[in-house]
Amino acid sequence: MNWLTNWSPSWQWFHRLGSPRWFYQTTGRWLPWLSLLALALLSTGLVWGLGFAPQDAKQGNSFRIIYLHVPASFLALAGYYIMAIAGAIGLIWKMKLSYMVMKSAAPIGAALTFLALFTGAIWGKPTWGTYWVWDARVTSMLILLFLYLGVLALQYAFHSNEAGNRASAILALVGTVNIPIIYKSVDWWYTLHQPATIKLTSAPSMHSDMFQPLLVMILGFYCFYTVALFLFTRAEILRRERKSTWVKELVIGAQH
Amino acid sequence: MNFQFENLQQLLAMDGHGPFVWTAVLVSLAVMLWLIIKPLADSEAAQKDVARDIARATNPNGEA
Repeated sequence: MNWLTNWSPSWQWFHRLGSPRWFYQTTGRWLPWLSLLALALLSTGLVWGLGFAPQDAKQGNSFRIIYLHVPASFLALAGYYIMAIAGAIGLIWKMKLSYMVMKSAAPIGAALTFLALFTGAIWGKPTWGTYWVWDARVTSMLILLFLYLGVLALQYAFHSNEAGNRASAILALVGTVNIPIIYKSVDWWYTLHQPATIKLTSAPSMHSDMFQPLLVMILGFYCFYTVALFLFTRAEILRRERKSTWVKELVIGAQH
Repeated sequence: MNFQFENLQQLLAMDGHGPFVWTAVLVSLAVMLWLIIKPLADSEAAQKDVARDIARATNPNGEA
């Protein structure tokens, strides 16, 4: 039956990807470069957006909050996909590492959703005259925050890890119905929130002098998100695998 | 592409929008910093636990 085990080299990456040890070592090599890239993109984008981009004709300088608000919202949503997909892989293939990624994505997603809501509220005051409005977009983002917090809470609600993981993954998957609602909320309902600035299918509705720094910030947030996800997952790996030989060797190696 | 403000005071004031913009910036940076420091501290704590387990295993009675 050797052919069964040797047959499929193309699946090797999948099994390797499922190995916490391989993940820990590989991300360890990537992290310095990725962190540097994130730092460079974020500082460039922030200085460009805050100091050099022209001010908005209608909103004045308050529009500069867009350089944090839009990237944070982007990653709050993209991070939800990552969490839900990681949960689904965990449910289907019972992959330990996948659950660890899901668990790590929850606090990062919650933090970024909080930032999206917070920067939005601060932007709302000078623009709409109020910090908070029960608008479709804002409310559905608040639900996203509760979904993230729910996934986080379920992890600690069960005695067994396995039960907590499964419950979290199911909540994450059920919660994906909220994502298209968030995207479409500005089109479906007449709301205070302005329609999307960037769409994949059409040109951005803003001048390129304003748009370029936003693009840099979004890329920077993607890199930052990846760094944060790697760091949280690595911490979780060390915690869960603390009895394994390779973690012990790693710690002994670090002591010398 | 020019710098949009005459001096530091103007950059901070942003025609009255400064408090809003800079609060958004500071809170965002603080949250992002937390997202980096928290997992690093957790990793550090986990490695210390492992080191303690190893020390206990090699010297079970805690004798020096």
